[in-house]
Amino acid sequence: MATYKTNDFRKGLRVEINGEPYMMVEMNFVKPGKGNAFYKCKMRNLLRNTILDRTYKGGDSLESADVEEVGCQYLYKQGDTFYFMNNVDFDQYELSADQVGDYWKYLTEGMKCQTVLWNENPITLTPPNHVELKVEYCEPGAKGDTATSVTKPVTVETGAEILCPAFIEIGNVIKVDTRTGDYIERVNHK
Amino acid sequence: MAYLLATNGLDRGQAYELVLGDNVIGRDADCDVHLNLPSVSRKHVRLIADDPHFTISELDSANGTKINGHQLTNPVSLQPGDVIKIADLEFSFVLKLPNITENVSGSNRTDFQPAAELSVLQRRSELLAQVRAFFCDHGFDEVETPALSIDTVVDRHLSPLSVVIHDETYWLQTSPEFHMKRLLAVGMNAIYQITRAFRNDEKGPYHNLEFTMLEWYRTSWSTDDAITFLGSLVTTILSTGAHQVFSYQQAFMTALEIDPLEDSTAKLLRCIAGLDFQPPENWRSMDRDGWLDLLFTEYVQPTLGLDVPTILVDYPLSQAALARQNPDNPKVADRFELFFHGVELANGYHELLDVQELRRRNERSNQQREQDGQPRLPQESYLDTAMQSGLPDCCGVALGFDRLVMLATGVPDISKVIAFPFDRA
Repeated sequence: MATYKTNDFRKGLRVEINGEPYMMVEMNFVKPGKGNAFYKCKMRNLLRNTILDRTYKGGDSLESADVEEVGCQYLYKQGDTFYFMNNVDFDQYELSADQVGDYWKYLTEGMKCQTVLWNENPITLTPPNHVELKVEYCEPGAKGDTATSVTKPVTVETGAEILCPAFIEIGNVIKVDTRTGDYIERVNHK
Repeated sequence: MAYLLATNGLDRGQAYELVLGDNVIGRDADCDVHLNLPSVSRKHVRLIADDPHFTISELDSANGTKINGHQLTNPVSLQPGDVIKIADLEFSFVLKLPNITENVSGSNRTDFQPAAELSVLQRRSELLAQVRAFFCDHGFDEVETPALSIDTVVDRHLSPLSVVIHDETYWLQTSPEFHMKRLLAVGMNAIYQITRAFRNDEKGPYHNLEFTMLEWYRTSWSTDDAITFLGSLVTTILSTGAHQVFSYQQAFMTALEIDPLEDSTAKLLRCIAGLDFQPPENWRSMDRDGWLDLLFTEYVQPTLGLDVPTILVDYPLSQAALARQNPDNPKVADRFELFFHGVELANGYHELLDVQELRRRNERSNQQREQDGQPRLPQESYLDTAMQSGLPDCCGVALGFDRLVMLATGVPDISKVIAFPFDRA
């Protein structure tokens, strides 16, 4: 494993601390003209998304983390395991329900996603920002409910419930923002 | 994946990463690529990334989009290297971000332009003229001395850069101190220079490997004369109120209620352990000056000079560098530093004249360097000889000119007050 010395420190560096992968998101060099150099760093834990503040002194070092982002597509789910395939080398990846988190709501077969590999194992999943999902079930809207301010839950093809305007009907395709879980628009397929 | 690399305007060099699927580009905060400029429409243009196919289509923007100079009307398939102009912002569409090594070897460098705004460079020029006028008015001679020298300052915490010329090692100066003292030793008595200094491994918002140093010396000055002159220079150039003077000890007492000169090491350690911050993991293995530096940079320095320039005086003797010991208080050195808005701007000494003491300090610095895993630096020097022949009683101050420009312009990043900072030098 490679080692980074303090003078290699920079934003974007992937390092391992206490056996977990981190990305350096901020690095600030502080040094009195005649004194010790310090490196004030903020690091994001790539497993848990938490931020770690650490100060290092000149000459300290950090272990590099073998972290890589790859494109993949969603295949299927079996039990609590989600299966994905690398777009380039067709390697298959397994992610647990915990690792996928709320994103299960947006996964449809063949959807192109990104995953972060740590020591060649997938650790996190990022779906596209916007996905299109077919509405499988909803209560009919009352006549004249055309305003977008009135919402109702609809069930989409993945089994998830999304809050939509009242005019959405079974069979419609809706666009959803995966970062917020919000309905964006109804998609009119030509 | 793919990126939009900004190639003009303030964002030049900024890379916007595209996501798979839909990428809406526009002024709305919820756009995937958010461009906060009035000329950009709320939802300006859409880029669909279906790796390896990338398609761009117009979204009824007010100011339009051009692809390689052609107005975008119907959706267009993008190729790496295509130039996308969104209103007046230009981007290059790339699959991979250029990395630094490619930049150096290739002929396709995109960052040939200065990092500083031209208005900042003009202000910098005015400040140089103001500084020269100030020294001229006070009877100083401007001198020029070599940047490359057979000697180097022996300092525990400085990494000088060496250059081998005809099998001989020369050093890029970390300050012009030695040469200027050699001029004092032969009879010059009020000198200044504006020169380049080089310190390896220093890079950050306040550090550039090569930087501009303003340094001056005057014989027969008392320490107070030197402090008053420094305060008057900085308050004049930056048009601030009168400067304040505190001791290093007072600054620690005010910020942390500890006495850096008198308190026991145990009390210092308890203070660090009890503070709500993350010291380096191995902080206990540092020494007393290391702990003081840690507390100083974290808790003391940020409070200094918030209203008017503040000069700290009477540094601990262990941090004397090339300052003489204070004749009345043997625990402190006649060393002083000026801070403004928490920025360390200048460092001054009532200069050490005793050559035996110089040799002891050099030896101690080299021993500490060895403990730190740093190479020893040559102790024999022309300064040693000049001091043997007799250096007159004098004071000297070094001021970081780039930081002066930062404070005068309010630009918070040193690389934006230098025409070509190290990463594009």
